[in-house]
Amino acid sequence: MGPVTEHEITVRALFEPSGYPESLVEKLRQAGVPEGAMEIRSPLPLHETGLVRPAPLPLHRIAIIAGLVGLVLGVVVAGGTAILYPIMTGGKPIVAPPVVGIISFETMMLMAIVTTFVTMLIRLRSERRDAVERDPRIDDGLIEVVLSLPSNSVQLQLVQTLLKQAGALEIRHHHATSSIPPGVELDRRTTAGMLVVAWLLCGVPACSRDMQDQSSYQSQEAPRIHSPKGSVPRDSRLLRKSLTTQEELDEGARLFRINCSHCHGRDGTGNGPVVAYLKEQPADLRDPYVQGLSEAALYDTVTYGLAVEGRDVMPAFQGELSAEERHSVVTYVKSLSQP
Amino acid sequence: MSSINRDLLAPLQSATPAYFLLLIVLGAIVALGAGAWYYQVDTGIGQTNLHPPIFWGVYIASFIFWVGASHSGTFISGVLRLSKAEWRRPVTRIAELMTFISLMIATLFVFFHLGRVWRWYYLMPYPNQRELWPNFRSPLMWDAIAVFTYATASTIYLYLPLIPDFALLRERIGGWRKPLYRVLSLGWTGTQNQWQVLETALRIITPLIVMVMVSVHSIVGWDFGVSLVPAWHSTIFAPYFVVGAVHSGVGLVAIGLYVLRKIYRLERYIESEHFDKIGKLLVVTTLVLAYLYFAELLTIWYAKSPDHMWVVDALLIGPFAVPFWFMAICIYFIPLATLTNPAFRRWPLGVMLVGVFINIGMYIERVLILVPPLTYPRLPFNWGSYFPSWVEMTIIVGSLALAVLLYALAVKFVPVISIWEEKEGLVHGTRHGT
Ligand code: HEC
Repeated sequence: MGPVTEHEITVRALFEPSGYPESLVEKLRQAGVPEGAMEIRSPLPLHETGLVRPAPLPLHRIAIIAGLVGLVLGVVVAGGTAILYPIMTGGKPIVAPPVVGIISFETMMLMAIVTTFVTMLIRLRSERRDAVERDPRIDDGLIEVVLSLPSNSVQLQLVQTLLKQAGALEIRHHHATSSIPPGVELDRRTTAGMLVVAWLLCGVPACSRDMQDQSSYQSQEAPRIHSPKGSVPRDSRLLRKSLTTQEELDEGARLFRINCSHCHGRDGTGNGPVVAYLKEQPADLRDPYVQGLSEAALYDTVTYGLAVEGRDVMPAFQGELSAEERHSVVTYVKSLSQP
Repeated sequence: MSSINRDLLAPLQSATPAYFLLLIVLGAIVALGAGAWYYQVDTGIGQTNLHPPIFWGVYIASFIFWVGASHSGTFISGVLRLSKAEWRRPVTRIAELMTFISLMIATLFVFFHLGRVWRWYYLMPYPNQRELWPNFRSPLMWDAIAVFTYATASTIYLYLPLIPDFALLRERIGGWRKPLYRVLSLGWTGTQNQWQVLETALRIITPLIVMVMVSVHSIVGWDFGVSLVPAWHSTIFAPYFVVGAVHSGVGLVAIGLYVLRKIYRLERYIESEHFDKIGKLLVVTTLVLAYLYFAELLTIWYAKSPDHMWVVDALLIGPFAVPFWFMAICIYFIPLATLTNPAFRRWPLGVMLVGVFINIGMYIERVLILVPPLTYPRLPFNWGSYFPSWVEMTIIVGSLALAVLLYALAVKFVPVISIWEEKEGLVHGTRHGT
């Protein structure tokens, strides 16, 4: 039932559960009372026939659709992880199909149950008729028939006789007002307030900074576990061969722009944007001294970085760049001599 | 019907001094537990006696125990609602409340076990600046998802049949609770439409939650089963955990029924027949559990694989023999010796005591599943031993007190017996039995 309007009158009749005749609703219908204007309130579900026809709500279908959505969600999140990280672990994908099954089963159930519940809530709320308080005697076993009729109709007379005939214990009229009973507005505000507070509380853990403050691994930091000085990864030489000189140069230039140019400058002359903040002037890589160094020496510099008087002035790249990437950069640095 | 209202609302309307005394005592124990937890957080997880190779101890055992206990509500109420057993009516709410509270306690144990608890939200799958993504390979992750689903679903499942009762309370109970009831009853007036929607929702959710229940403890079983640890790596773990959970859950319901009936004089609603039915259920769960246990031990013992046998020997005749046989007496022998006797089953106090034994036994069982296999890893140089520290024990006692405290508070807030369902039973004229 929608909200009651000014021109309506509400008729409420109480019945003993045994005295309530099932034919009453049928008779009221014949008297021209529309389906939406009748309401029966009872302390427990009534399953007899001849009652007001409940407005249909495809709750089953909604539950099934929500379940399917949840299923897809689970498959996407869990299965998607396996697709993003195609790493075989223990002879199976990182998130194996049975696991995707388990996870999507749970998300399916979760979505189905929660959606059913939420749909039900919305339905219950839409039922609410704020203006008419519920008669407490209903909970002691009586059944109430509530009708909303146009206030000056002849129907009213007819309906009352029908109700009396059916054995109503008490018939009352209300000139319906659409005013909301006092407590309700307050309740809404309390609920909203509680939700806001709960939401804010969720943010509290974020105030702690201990994860940021801990000694975590920084980017460009040298690996804490070092491979012995001078050692070269076994697979790098093979990989290096697969690049043509031009490809290697391009790759080297790209890596140089990312990793070196902020210090050494885009052209390698040592005029990068951060130079002003450095204690040591970066080398001009086109300088004959630098160009005179062997490829192995440059590789060594890039791998382990440089320290002047015990202080690091250039970072080590062995954690940042793979062996063949370092080779590419070195090739690029070598090429800087021919302007 | 007005007598049903009167009887079932009575517990909400008055409180004896003894009740407040109980609250104070429980509150004090809870405070002790909270203090121990504070101490543990402050000084570090090293306050527990957890250490390699025994990295799971009584916290995880308690987690399993409480998740298991939560199967009380779903099993009793869900399965009985599905099978339309009339005798469920006075039992369901008591059991569902237990589910709800046990799950809260179980969740707490996850947090007790975390090293830096204040970082717990990194466990959740949301994009963050540290690029952490949940590890779906780990059964613990499946577990987290399943327990979350289960907790949400069982809260809804507790709430649904409560809506009409909240509407009743809204009218009958004043004071500070009234506005709460008004919000919680969602404008329920009891129209045909509302009843219809509620019943449909219950009909849809009941079978779903029973399936979720089975999946939850299966996954807890797989936490162990999918590992390679000797005596965990077993196909039987999932069903075995589910049945064990139902076993202790039903035992808990027996305790709850007895205590509430005694205190609030609900003899007219909770009859000895209900204890009879619960007793029969317990016989079934005892037999199934014993069967699964036997099947598991037989398989291991017959194979005589040394790494497995270290664990089994330790249980049967070794250092764990005393708790093991005590457990066997509590969860197998006592229920079988008593509950198979029809006269005994109609004796509420007796059934309640069996429930107590079962739950003590099941708790020990959870510890015995965890600790012995971890104590004997495959390389003997690495063997260890474990006994909980005082911090762990205080937290465990505190959380048990918290569970009871929450229950005691809940009793003052919701009717322990579903009022409208009881009325429905009255109208159907077939209140008890079939
Ligand atoms: C933090 C800024 C910084 C970055 C980033 C940096 N360098 Fe340097 N680099 C320096 C400084 C400073 C020197 C000069 C050290 C000295 O004076 O001995 C230097 C020196 C060099 C030298 C001369 C070596 C020698 O033996 O004198 C080479 C070659 C070099 N860098 C290559 C690179 C390459 C290739 C990269 C990128 C992979 C790079 N650098 C990244 C700061 C940087």
